[in-house]
Amino acid sequence: MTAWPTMRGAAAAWAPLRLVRSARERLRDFRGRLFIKYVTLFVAVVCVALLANGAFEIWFFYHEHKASQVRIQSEQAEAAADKIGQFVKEIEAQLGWTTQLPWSASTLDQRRVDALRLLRQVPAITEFSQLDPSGRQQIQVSRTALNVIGGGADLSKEPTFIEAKAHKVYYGPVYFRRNSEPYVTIAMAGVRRDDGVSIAEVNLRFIWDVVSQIRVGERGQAYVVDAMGRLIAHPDLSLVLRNIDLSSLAQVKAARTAAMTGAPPPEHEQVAQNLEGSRVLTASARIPSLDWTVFVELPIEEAYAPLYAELKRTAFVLLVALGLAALAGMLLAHKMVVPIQALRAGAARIGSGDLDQRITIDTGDELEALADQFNDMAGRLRESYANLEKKVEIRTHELAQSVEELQALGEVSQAVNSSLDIQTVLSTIVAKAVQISDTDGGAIYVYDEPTGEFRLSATHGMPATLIADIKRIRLFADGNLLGRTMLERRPVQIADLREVNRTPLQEAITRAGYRALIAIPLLRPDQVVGSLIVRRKQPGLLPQSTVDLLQTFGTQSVLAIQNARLFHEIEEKGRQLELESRHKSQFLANMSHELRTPLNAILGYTELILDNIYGETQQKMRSVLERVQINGRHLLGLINDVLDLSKIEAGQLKLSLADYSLEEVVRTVFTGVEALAASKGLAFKTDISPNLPRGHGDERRIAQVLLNLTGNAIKFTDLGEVTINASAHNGSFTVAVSDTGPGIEEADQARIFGEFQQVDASSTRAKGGSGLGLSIAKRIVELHGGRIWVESKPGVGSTFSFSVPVKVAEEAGAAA
Amino acid sequence: MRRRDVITLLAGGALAWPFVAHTQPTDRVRRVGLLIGMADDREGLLRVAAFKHRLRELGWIEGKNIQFEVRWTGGDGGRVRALADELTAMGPDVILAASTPVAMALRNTRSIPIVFAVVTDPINAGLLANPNRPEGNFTGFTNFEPSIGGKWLEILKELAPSITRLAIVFDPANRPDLSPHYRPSLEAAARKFGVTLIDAPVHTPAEIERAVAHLAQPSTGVIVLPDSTTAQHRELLAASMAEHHLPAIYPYNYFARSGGLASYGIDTVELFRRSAVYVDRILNGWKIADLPVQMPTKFEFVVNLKAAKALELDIPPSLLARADEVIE
Repeated sequence: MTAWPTMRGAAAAWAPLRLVRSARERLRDFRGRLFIKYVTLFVAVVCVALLANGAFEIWFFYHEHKASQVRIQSEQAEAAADKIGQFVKEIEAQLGWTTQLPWSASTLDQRRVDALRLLRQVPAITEFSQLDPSGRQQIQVSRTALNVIGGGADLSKEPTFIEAKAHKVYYGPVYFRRNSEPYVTIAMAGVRRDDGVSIAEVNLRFIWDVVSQIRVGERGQAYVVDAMGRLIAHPDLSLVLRNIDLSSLAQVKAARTAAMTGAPPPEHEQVAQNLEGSRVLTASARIPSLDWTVFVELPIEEAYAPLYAELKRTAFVLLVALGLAALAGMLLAHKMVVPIQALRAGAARIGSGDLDQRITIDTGDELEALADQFNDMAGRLRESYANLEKKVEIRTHELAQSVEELQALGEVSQAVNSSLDIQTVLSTIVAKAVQISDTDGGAIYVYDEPTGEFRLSATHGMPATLIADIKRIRLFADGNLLGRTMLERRPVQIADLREVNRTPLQEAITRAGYRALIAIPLLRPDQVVGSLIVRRKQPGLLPQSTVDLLQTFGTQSVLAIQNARLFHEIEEKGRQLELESRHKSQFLANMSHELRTPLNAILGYTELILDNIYGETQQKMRSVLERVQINGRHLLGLINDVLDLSKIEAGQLKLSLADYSLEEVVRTVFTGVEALAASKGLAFKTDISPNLPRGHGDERRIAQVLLNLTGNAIKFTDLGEVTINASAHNGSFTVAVSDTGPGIEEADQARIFGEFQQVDASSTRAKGGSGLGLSIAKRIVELHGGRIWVESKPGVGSTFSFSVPVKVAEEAGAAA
Repeated sequence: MRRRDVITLLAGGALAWPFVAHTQPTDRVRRVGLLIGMADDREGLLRVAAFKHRLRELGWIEGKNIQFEVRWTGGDGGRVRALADELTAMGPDVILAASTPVAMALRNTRSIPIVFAVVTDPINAGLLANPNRPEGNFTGFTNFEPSIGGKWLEILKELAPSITRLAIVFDPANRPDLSPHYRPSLEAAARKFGVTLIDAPVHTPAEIERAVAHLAQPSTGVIVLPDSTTAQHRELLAASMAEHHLPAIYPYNYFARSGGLASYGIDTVELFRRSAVYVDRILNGWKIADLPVQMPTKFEFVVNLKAAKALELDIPPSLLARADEVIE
């Protein structure tokens, strides 16, 4: 169970941190998305379909409706124009009656009666007059004014008379009586020359009746406009009486231009603004004889009311359909999503490790199949889990065992390493071997090569009697198990001692109660060291793993024995060496003393001679003696060096520690070799840091080192300068001697500190020196607990530096 | 829960849709005052009924969205002022003023729109100056043009060719400036026909009797001018005329119907109907200035044959043929 989350955790650890969000977090993002998706899709599809359909329909409906509206209106306009035309024709017809009789054929009085009857007949005529063929007015009857019979007013020049005579009928312009009553003059002449002209003043208020009765939808209306664009008839009489000029309206203008060009009224001037400024759908028809135009208009809202109603219906249907679609979509999505959610939840549960849950879906389709698969998977996971657990148990157990074994090995190694006493080591080994192999007893036999016998070296868990028995038996390489292992160079087991022919040793063992044993050879590649035995009271073979383990023990034992032996040898050797070294040092010390004594004598006497103690020394003799002196001193130096070195090697060089001033040391050395440098023509200077602390060390030896280095520098430098640097830093003195000599190759730099080394053997002879100086210096410096080194560049120069602690500790001064 | 809410919303919307009707704004009940310069007799009631009926046709249902306050002066000039004040004090939306003295009595009211009917000369009556675009709060329908005076004489002359004297019966108290309205045309016609004009002012029934009796001379004709007094006492007048064998011509058909010989004029019922249209317009927000004064158009000639017979007048058939109504 615990393996599962850790696997996941491990996987998570591998992935980049910022991309990893838990499945739970992602679920939050996605929850409900599928549902919404389905619903949205469904609704969108329905919506699009309906919208497309609706738009399509409405588009066509609009156009058709508009067209039909305009058609209707045109028809109405035509009908209205017809009616009005008819009305006028009626009047004309009535007028025509009056012109039938030739003028001469009737009396004035007759005409008067006819006129009065005409007035009665045609209410629209307010005034009627008749002109005789010459244009003189003979009759005038009026509804409101006095009738005039006779009179004879000459109207022959009037266009009424002239036009009427010319064209048989004349329509005058619409004029307004008393500025508000629309009238038109209609004059008719008889067909013959002898006929007079009848003139009627027609009150157009009666046309109002016609126009106001025209039904155009609910709020539509018709009106008539004369040739000038003035409103002459309108359902609202008061508008007519106001004598309004409509020629500014677009549709009126269009109709006028159409009338003038003779073309039919334009179609596109269908939507315009009417007198009141509201938008209307308008159509017109012309009354040709009078040159009046009838306009029929319908308010746009009414014209388009069906359209709007249709729109509203469509919108309503759309909404309802959307609602239904949403519902249906939701239902469908719900049906789809619920199983998917169940799957998801189930998978989440399985993912979190709950493998006992089963997902139940009964949709009877692929989703159910998927759920079954999931369940299957969960079941199998559980099985493999169980298997895994078992395996883990086993492995753990094995591991535990291995750990135990390793621990034992570790303990053995520790034991082996912690003691060089071979007996202790072998005892530990056999004890551990018995323990780890879970046996009842064991022993280690060491093979003695010279005698060819196996000796019992260590035992564990064996009774004293058995040990005594074994010790009595002489175990040779052949004739027993031990020998066999030696020969075969591999472990040999006996499962049950009772089953085999027993050797005396095996008899003893059997008697002690052991029935099974195993012998592990302790081998080195070239020889046999011995054998490790473990025994068990129970019969049977040991498992291979234990055998392998015991073999490891065996190897360890071999190593242990080896180590012990070597250790002994080393100890012996060391002791011997020490002895030899002591002898040597003693010898050297003696020798040097023996050597120095005569040499000192030589040097002393030479000195004396040179000091003229024994008389005046001649020049020839002087130079020779000086040469003797030089060589003598040289020899002395060599002997000193050798002695020093032997002391150092013997570990007998001791430092005498005391306070000293480094500055003084440097100055002393400087003074000592100044002359030498000068004789070679070299620049020689010191560079001592101010405020050097007081040192604590062996002043003489340090001076010796510095002297050696400086001497070397001057010796090997032929041109240039030599400088001594002295400084203190971090509790150490650093002294450096730099020169502009030939320099030292890098390869040689390490070598020169070795004994008897100079860079170039040839130059040694030239320059002199024993080659011991640097090695002694190195030892001295190291005794102080410091170090010495060289920096050099061939052809440029060298700098030999050494550093020693300011305060040398007492121990460092002790024997190296 | 979300889904359920959506469903409810949709369902509710669907159901509510039809009820989101285009509600009409509830009109407050309008008040129309009627000041009728007549008696509430048959003719008076007929006219008011015609007015109300036309308004009903235009959508004004009495009691639902309109209320009428009718006041009858009964032809009594003295009561006009008091009734006018009473009506204006009620603060109606529109006032219908029938006949000139009524309209003139309402001249003080500047705020209430007034539609007059059967007014002879609104300009002279001081109601307005421009009949095409009334600048005040008066508009309406006139009854006669001045020229009608001559026409009356002409017709009377046709009916009774023998007359040489013409008496003009009117009530100067009602409309003092009325007779001048017709006088010019009357005089012109009189000159033409060689007839003498006589004024016969009357005010009370007693005066009527006296005046008519006074006029009873041969070759005398009578023109009765349209005013409330004459209208009020039409039966008396007709009877008196008949009694004294005086041919008379009247302005309105109800005179002829009441026994008068003939009438030539307009049907004032029509004027009331047309006033209703104007009142409707005003109630719908039209301005007075957009409602021009309208003149009469339809004239009718009514002849009472019975009266003619009584007067022993022989009415030529051609004349009869011209009559719009013949009472037998």
